[in-house]
This record gives sequence, structure tokens and C-alpha cells, in this order.
Amino acid sequence: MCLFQLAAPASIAWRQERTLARGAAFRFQTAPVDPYDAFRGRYVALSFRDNLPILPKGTTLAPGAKVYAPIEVGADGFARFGEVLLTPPEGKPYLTLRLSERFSTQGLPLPFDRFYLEETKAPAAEVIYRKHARDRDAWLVVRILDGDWAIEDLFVGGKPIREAIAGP
Amino acid sequence: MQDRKHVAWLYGQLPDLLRDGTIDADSASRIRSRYGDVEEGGQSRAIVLFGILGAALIGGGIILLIAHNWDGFGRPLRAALSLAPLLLGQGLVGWTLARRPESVAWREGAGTFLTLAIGASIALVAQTYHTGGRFEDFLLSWVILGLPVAYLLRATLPAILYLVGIVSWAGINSAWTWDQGNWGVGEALGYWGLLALAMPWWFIEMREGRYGPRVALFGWTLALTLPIGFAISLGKVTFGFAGPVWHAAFWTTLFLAGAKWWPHATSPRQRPLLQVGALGAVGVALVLTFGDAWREHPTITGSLAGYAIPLAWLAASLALWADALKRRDVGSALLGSLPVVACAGYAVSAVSPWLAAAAFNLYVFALGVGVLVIGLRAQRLAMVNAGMMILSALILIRFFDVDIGFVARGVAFIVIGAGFLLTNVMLLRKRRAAQ
Repeated sequence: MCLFQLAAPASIAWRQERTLARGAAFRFQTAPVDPYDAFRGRYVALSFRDNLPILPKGTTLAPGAKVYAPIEVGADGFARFGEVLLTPPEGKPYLTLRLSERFSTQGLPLPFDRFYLEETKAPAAEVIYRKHARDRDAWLVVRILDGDWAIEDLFVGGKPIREAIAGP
Repeated sequence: MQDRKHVAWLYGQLPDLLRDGTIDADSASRIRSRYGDVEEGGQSRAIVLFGILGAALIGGGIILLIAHNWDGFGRPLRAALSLAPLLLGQGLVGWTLARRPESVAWREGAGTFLTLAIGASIALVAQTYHTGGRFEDFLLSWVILGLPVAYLLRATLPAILYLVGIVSWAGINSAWTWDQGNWGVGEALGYWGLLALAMPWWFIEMREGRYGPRVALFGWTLALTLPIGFAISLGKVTFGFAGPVWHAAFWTTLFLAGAKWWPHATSPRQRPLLQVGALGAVGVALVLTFGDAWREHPTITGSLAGYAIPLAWLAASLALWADALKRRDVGSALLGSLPVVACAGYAVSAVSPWLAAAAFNLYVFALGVGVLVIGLRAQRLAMVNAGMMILSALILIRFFDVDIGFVARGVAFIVIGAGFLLTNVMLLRKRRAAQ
């Protein structure tokens, strides 16, 4: 019992550390929103536009199905997702997604949708983040390894958000 | 509290009664299992409560401290810190099992702390690594990992949290799948699978007596969460098809189960299933006295596998009803016949909703009179009042339903009220005279 209880949080930590250590880094440009998730503390809610993975037209998949979104880096240096595949692409970076019941045809929601901060810093962070996201000047650095992902940092105006809050 | 004192006195007498041969060892153990533990009465119950409260507060405090998300600490250290409440909780549970296995306060306190710590550790690690994820997935892994704590420590609060957790999980899940026009029968049925995992806990506790406070507490939580779980899985499956039958079957089963397995309760607190079931069943019966309740007639939709749940409840209610008839428990059999009447009503309603509603008016009237008469004969004030409540509810409903003048309504209210008072006064006098 004790081992199972420990394994639940520890396995999350272990996979994240592995991806952070060995994964390739990609920058995803973000767009803003703002909720409060009382259960897990304060965070900046992230949303993405234009760069979401899309289901090829005419595919019907049951909720819970695994799909693979190949990642391409554009000329601007930002990463985008292509049309999702049913098998992992060979020799190309990709993100593994599990279809939830809640996807729309606009694009599949990305699993990285929040960035946690100390609760005293989160309000200030949100103001800065919102401004930069509007200027298309905010991005998230995500490490990807074998379809797994781990958030490295959130950048606004070219600086990590914690530095940006601390001031120039 | 008072009856616990009497039980304590009775237990004090048992050794003497055994010695002089008034009762045998078998009877003594039967008496013990009939009345349950006395230790949990009075002072020690307060200690248990404070144990739980203290554990919850300390646990909450530690979690809040860690949830502060100390930016200065660096990721791996924060991840390790996130596991601290869990390890602390496990240590506490281990210590309790080794050193204080007899203490209810320690078992409940340590169990509560560990249950909270499991959820906290998962959430804190998720926060450290910014992994979002669906709340219902988090909830599910939390409650499943927490359930063994309830068994291991025989602790009540973890078991109760589990019941609340799984019904919340089912609710959140169904809200989403409903939105998407996705019926998710599998998820709706999942609730029953999860519930089945918790039931043995209750049965194990019952072996030490069905009337103890722990069994009752679980029973109340069950009686209050089950209707939600049932409504969710029903909504996903039947979409109104034969609704009156399923609702009648559900509440009646609760009521009859309470009547059958808790026959000797000394206080209403000890019979959650009966209380909640009776209230729900009478409520359903009253709703079905309206013609409008019978007008909707959707055809069968949803998957047939999904009907297994409502059908199982119907079968259970019928079996328990047959059992009540066999035991000549007329009081239970009266309300217990609700599903049968509902089935008949449903069959008739396809032709005439009005006829079904009329039949239910008669049924509720007969039920009220029947309960009243049984109560009067047995001189049980609670039953007399229940019968009169059913009758007056029916009359009041019809009064608001049908267009009747104020004077007639006023007179009817006064008559009902006077009837209530008179019967109660008469019964109390009779009882006093008998004493």
C-alpha cells in the first residue's frame, strides 16, 4: 500500500526529471486567459493559438485513444504541431496525446496549460504575462522526449517570468 | 448518549448473569453484537472527534506550507518536500498499527492524516512540475490510493471520504460527457464498481454490531451519496424511459434494506437507509400523483448494458418486498409495494396518464391510512405521525393542484392540524396510562 501511494507522485516526478534532463527544448508561443484553481495553488493559465495539433478531417476516434502530434519548428523559431498521427513518427520529435471527450475541431488541447508560481508573485506575473502575450512576445519552453513533455520555463519579453517580475 | 449508558450498565451485568446461569455465553455474545461497542460513547467519542480534527488541521497546515511553492528551493528539493506529508502519514499509520492498534482516536486520526496526505502529495508534485491534468483523474487516483487506509486502520473518515470522492468523480465525469453529447455508459457504471470496493469495509464493521456509530456514519454517507450516483447513472442510461419505475425501485430498496437489516434500532440515527429511503420513496409516490409525471413517454435509448443497474435495483426491491411479505412486516410491505404500483402505473400510463395518477392518489392515501393504523395499533407515535404526514402531504398537494376556494382550503388545513394534535395527545395519554 505504502509503495503504491508513494509511486503515484514519485512517478510523475521521475518522468518529469528524465524529460527535463534528456529532452529537446521547443518554444511555444502563448495566448492569455485567467482562472483560479483553488485546489492546486496559484498559476498562470496558458493557452495556445494557431499552433495546436489538429485531427485530420474525417477521422473518428474514441475518447481515450492515443495519438501522436509531430512537432515542427517554423522560420520564427517557434514550434508548431502538424496533423496528428496514429503511430509515432520516425526520427521526428512528437508529443503523445490522449484524446479527452472535450476536444473541439479547432485543435486538440495541449496538456501543458498552467505555470505555477508563488502565490504572492502570481498576480504580478499575470499582469506582465497578459501584456506580453497580447504582443505575441510570450512563450513557453517545453522539453520533449519520446512523446513525454516537461515544462522548463515561461518567458516574457525574452526573460524568464520570475526575472521579469523581479524587475530590470 | 443516554442509551449508551444503559448499554454500559447492561454489559456490567453480563458477568454476573453468566455466573448465575441466567444466560449462556452465546446469549451474552449475541447481546454484545446487538448493542455494539460502548467505548465510543461520551468522552471517548469526543477524543476521537478531536483526534480527527487535529489530524486534519495539522495536515492542512503542512500542505499549505508546502503549497507556498517556495521558488527559492529548486525543483528536486520541492519535489522531495512534496512527498514529505505522505511519508509522515505513512510513518504515523505504521506507528499507530504497531503501538496503538486498539485506540480508535489514533486510528481515525492517523487515517485521516494519511488520506489527506496522499491527495496533497500528488497535487504538490503536479504543481512543482506544472503538470495540469484533469481534476477527475487526480480525484480518482487519490481515492483509490486512499481506500486501503480505511481497511488497514478500520478508520471511518477515510471510508467516508472515499464515498464522497467517488460520487464527485462520477458527477464531474458525467457533466463533461453530457456536454459533449457523449453518454459514457462505461464511466457511469464505473461508479458502481468503485462503490463495490468500499462495501466490504461496512460489512466488516457490522460484524461488531450494526448499531454502532461507525456503521451508522458510513450508512448515512452512503444513503446521502448513493442517490446522486444513482441519478447520474440513470440519467446516462434511460433518459426518462420508465423513469417512475426506476426511481421507485431505488428508494424502496434503500427503505426495505434498512427495515430488514436494522430491525432493532433504538434511535433513528442508527437507520440511515430506512430514513432516507422512506423519505425518498414517499416523495416519489407523491410526485407520481401528478398527471404530468406520467405524460412523458420516451422510447428506449442508451445502451442496453446500461439498464443493468436500474434493473438490478428493481430486482432487489422486489426481492426485499417479497421478503417483507413473508415476514408479515405489513408496515414495510405497504411502502415496499411502491415499485410494483409504479410498474402497473407505467403500463397504464401509455393509455391514460390520468388513470396512472389517479391510481397513485389512491395508493398514497391507502399508504397513509395503513401506516397510521399500524402506528395506532402498536402505539408507536413516530409511525402515527408518519402516516399523518403522508396523508396531509397528499391532501395539501391536491389542494394546491386543484382549483379550490380559500375557505375550503382553510377549513381543510384546520381539520388536518387538529387531527395531528388530537391523535398525538390521545396516544401520549394512553401511553402514560399504560405506564
